[in-house]
Amino acid sequence: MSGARILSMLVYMVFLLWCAGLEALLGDTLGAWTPALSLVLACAVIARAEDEDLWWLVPLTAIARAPFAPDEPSVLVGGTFLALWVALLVRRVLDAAGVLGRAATAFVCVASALLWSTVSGALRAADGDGTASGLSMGVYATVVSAGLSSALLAAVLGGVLQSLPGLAALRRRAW
Amino acid sequence: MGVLRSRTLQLVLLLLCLALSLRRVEGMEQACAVLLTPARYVAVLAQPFVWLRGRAVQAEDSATLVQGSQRVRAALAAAVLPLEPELRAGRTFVACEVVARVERAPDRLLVRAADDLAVRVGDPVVLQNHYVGRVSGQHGAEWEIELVTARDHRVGAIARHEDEIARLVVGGLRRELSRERGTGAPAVVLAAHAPSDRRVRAGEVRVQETPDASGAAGRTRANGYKLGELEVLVEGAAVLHGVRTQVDWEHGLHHVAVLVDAAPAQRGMVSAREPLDAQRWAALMSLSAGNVWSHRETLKVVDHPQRPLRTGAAVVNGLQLCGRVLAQSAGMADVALLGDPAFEVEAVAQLDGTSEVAALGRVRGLGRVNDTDVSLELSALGMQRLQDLVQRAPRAQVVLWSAGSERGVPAGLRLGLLQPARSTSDPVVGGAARTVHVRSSVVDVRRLSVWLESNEEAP
Repeated sequence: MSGARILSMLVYMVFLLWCAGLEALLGDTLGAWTPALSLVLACAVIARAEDEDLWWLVPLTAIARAPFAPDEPSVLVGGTFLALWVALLVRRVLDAAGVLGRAATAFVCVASALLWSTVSGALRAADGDGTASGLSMGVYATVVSAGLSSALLAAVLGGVLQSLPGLAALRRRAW
Repeated sequence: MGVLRSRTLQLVLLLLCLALSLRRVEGMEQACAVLLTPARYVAVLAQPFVWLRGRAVQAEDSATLVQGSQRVRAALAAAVLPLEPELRAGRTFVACEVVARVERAPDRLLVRAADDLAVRVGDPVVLQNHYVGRVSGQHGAEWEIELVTARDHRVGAIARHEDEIARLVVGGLRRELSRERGTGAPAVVLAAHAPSDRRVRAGEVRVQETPDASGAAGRTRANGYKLGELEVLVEGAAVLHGVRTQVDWEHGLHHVAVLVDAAPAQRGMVSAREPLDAQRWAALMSLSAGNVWSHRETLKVVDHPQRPLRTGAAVVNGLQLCGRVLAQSAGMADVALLGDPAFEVEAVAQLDGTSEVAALGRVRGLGRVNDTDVSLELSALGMQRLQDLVQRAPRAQVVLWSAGSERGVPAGLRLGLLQPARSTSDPVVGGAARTVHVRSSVVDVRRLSVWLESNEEAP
């Protein structure tokens, strides 16, 4: 692995960390409609990454989101793995460079991460070793609204995120 | 590289990862915590967002807050004293704050006494006019109390009904009715053993002990205290005597009083855990000012490697309760703020500026209503008590405080000001739902402190 690529990974993590921080800050104002900026950025990177890049994308994304995620470590890692794997899957079907492709990828990625966090939290709560509130209609509404706002953000800003400075070494896959 | 590109391998590992995160598997949690360890350090790069979120706590009159806290703690401690003058006469009381229930033994309480020197094992424990148990041991700075509901507890008693008198022994629960404890309603029936006169089927039951073989008068100090009302339970051919108590064993035991022999050397009726003591609080460093899921209200703080933060410990701005430590991993700890669904605390309501309080039992966060208000859920009994309190002085403001009675949260931390009902359909007091809206101070994430029990040291 080249030095430029390692440096790009570190830059990616810093961007991701700031996106997650901004997301947490925006949550106060936008509530359920807060876009999952960090996952939208991850989708933008995965659009130009190779399949094997998933092995480092998952831990780096989980580490950057950890200071802002209330999930337990295994739930966070599992949810991130699921979200990025789903994004990779959608990329194979849709054109990740197009507006629709970016929006669809962001929607399923965010929705799957949020759903996983909720479902596993509810199951753990039922077992007595979790603390989440469980499943409710409010949570499903949040999944949809966060997914839609993230999809909108990806459609509008996805191109910019895909060409952020310092990430050139990660863009291995041609459109 | 071929192996790494394998989609089948990715899918298998994904499914394994998901399956192991569905339920808590210690090995998996630890492995993931190790993987996420760098997060504790890279989070420093996101500190600008903490500064952006940091803002001055809303103008809160700290002197008023301190007075309110002192008043509510004094009210909780004084509320344990008997109302009948003859039950006070010639007796000395030491207030004890309930800290926890003994694990897997809910009929045993752990308490902190206002004066340890005066308390002895075997001393009776009372709550207002009611006998509740006996001091059964000491664990470090905490005393263990065996409640009269414990299976092996026995106390001599006398039942009087008009001219009839029966001596009996009371202790343990009538098993058939013990399930009523789950409702939280004060409808527990104690077992009455060996009544001297089985014809007595009703009447008030009070403690009537005789001095033990050593001649020590400790046991007799609680004579005259109430146990409850005698009743007869018919089950098939068996006629069983029981004593229906009026104590809320689930949520009413925040403070109790020990009947001691000597006069207390220190402070007999002051709450044992003092939230105004600065040494009991340690400063916290926030790593984040919020979280990425809008339906949760949590933040991350730095955990201490040598002495990890206790799960359940109170996190405050001054005397304003902001949340409780939820879990720790990877050098960080999650704090569930007031509006988070994982936030729970024993609470009392107080008519502002007075000593009138009502125990609400456990309240749970339901989410944030707006910038200042959070929604809390009460038990049915708690809601009933709150409505009774509000009706006593409909125009007075009602403040919710922590009640103590659990480890990590002392009594007298403010949750917020109860918001009045805006209409009957609103989910607040007056509505059908067991939900109230509470206005609390804005959390200043730069000035958070965490509660330390007395045997802990500040990090």
